[in-house]
Amino acid sequence: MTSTGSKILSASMIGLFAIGFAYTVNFAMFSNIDWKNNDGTPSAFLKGKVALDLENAYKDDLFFREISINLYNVISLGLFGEAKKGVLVGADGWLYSTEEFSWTKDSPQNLEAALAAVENTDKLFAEHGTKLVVALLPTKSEVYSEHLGSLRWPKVHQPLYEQVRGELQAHSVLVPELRKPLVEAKEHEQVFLKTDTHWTVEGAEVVARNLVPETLAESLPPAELTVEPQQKTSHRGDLLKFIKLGSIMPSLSYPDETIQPILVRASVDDVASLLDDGDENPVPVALAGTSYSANTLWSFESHLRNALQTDVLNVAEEGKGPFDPMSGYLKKLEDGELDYPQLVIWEMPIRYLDDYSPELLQSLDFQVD
Amino acid sequence: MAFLPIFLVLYFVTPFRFKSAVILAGSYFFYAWWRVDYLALLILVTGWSYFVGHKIYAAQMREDAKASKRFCAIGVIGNLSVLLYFKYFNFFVDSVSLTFFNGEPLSPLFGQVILPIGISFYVFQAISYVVDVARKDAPPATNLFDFAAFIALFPQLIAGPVLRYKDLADQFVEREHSWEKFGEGSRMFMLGLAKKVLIADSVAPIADTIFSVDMPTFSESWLCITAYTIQLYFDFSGYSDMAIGLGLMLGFHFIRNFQFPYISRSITEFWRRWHLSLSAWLRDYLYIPLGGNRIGVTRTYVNLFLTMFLGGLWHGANWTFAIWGAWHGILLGIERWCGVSSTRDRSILYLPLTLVCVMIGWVFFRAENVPSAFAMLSGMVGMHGFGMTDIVAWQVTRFSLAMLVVSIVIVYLEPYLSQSGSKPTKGDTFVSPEFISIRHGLLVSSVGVLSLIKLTADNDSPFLYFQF
Repeated sequence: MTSTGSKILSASMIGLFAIGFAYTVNFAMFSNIDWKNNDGTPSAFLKGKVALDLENAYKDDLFFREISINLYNVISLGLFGEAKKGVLVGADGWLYSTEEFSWTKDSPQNLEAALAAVENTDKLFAEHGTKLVVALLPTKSEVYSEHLGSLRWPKVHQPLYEQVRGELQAHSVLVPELRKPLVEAKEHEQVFLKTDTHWTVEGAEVVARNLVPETLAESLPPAELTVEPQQKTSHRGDLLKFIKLGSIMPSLSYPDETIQPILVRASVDDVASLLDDGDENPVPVALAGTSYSANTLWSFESHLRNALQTDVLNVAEEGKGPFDPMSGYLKKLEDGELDYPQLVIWEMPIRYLDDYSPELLQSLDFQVD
Repeated sequence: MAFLPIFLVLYFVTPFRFKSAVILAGSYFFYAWWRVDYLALLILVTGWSYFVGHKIYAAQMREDAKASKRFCAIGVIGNLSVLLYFKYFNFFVDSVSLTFFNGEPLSPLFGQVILPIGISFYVFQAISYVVDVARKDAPPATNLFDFAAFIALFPQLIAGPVLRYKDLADQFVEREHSWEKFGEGSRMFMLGLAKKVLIADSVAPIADTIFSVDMPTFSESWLCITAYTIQLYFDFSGYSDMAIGLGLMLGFHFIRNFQFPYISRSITEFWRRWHLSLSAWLRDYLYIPLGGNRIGVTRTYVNLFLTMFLGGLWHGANWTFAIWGAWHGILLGIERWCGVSSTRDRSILYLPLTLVCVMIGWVFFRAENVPSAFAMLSGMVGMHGFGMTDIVAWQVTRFSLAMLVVSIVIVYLEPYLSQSGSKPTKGDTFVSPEFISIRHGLLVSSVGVLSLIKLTADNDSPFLYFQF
């Protein structure tokens, strides 16, 4: 005779299978598949690329995926005070990116290659009469170390800011001290967002004000600027993507933060130069870098215009780190699509410097030795 | 989520005489999902073994022992050649290059060979069939569908247990499907999933993090290898339980693959509890053909060592696996010399000693290369300091540590909770339905659902033994 326990288990299993079957039928009839790997060739079918695309779409569309992730996050955060991979939970509502803590056995050689790439880029610009200023951004963990709670920021990172600056300055690269002004400014205003990897509009302003030495700024052609404060906006920090809780246990969730961007434009006469369409007066300053510069929410480009009282061409890109955008910009300069400016600002969060292998940097056309 | 429900519906609505064909079609579909082109290799090994089996049988009918042996050798060499090429060719080329050419690539002609998933398992099953027929331990397969379904049986195709045709031949001809079996199969499947997803995957980040450190300290090394010891057991035995569970749902009784290995009080006993299907295979198709313990004391030790060394290499084309196998070979030799037997009770003090020996072996089993393994071993004796460094500390989560503690408790409670007893086996016990209480049924069902939720949240969670 079949035991009741056995019947329960059989029923549970059949229930799960029935749900799986119903979902599969629904998926087969209504799903839109993103054929990333399948190029339509017989080889793609034979080598399992069609199956891979189907599998990815199946996983992504899974109707209980979102609630599973939320539930798992609630357990992790509620019981253990931890988040999934990618974010570390500090004290007082502060979150930190794991990228700021990470240090692997490849980090030393990667860092060395990154410094060589910056030094060689500086030389390249110098050959064309362009001055490079590296905006080396300290980590949020360092500036706001008092909110780390039980987290221990690895000692290996602690001297890194000074070491990197020292090494680059020894090769005549201009790397202004930005950590100190940020730490001083945080007494009066918040310079990094609590739940985001990025700085605040105020933090961006502090850096813009302390970046370019006065003598260099004075040599730039002035532009007429108009300053337009923008509407206050509610912002959901990017680190919260790792702690999606849905509507389960709202008491655990982190609040949105408020941002008020500003927009500083060069006057109408200078609009043509914004496009840098090859006329005789190219935009005097170019800004290359990461999302810290590319995202208009933080207003770094506007603050730079304000601080330098000149026009700025922004070639930074989101989600690509500091090297890809610079590589793309250098290519455009080399191809003559853009003219060399007087000054290039290369915004570079220090946490990225040990992420690129020498091979990767070489593939981006950087010289690393 | 997609494959199993559809397969089971088709399987259960099909009359018994066509069920092998459904299993075969399902298994080939399952395998082709990874790579359609490599399905051809599985079919080739199947066809080859089936053909050779009949040749052997025909020779036996003629009472031509020489021809029977010759066909057996041809069959085994054919199957081994496939394994040697696809699993060890890269290793051989790289070793030659490192030894004689400073690691320079030898030639573009020596391209990187892709390791077909599950090849070690299905080739071993094919070899066991050829040898069993030659030894007259099993009749040759009369139905190609049954035989092909046996070689490709999807629940265990990728990571075992290693099945033998002689154990399953009768089950292909006749087997019972019952709610007891389905219920027990469901229980084993859900518990296996829980072992893998809730435990192995939760402690894995500890081992992964510390194995990526150059010079782990004493506390890091021990934490790391403890986590890996747990991860490997729960991952592999979880997969085995799922395979056995699925087999039961289809009416098959598969061989038990694990029986509380970490309560062993000797390495000899450990091999009566760990990866039983492989131990049994190595005993029957390698150790005994080498002469076993029948041709002198010295030769017995050599055979023991060779069996374990080759068993190590079976796990992967890397010197780390060879050393792991050799380590176990040496330990088994020492225990044999000391008269240790798996059936005689030893003091509980031998348990931690055995466990440490097993953990030292796991260092080689997990390390990417030999220097990394020695770096970990140096850490274990405190040569890189003692405390936990801050580079590692932030990566070891409270959740992983909690799961590690829970899993250690489970390892040592499991024998008392099991209804099948904690005595070691010789690898020939089969899983049969057990009485399941209401509370147990509800508990396991809940754990199964929880595992599915975590699996979905984690999204990507490969099994460790897939690489072999």
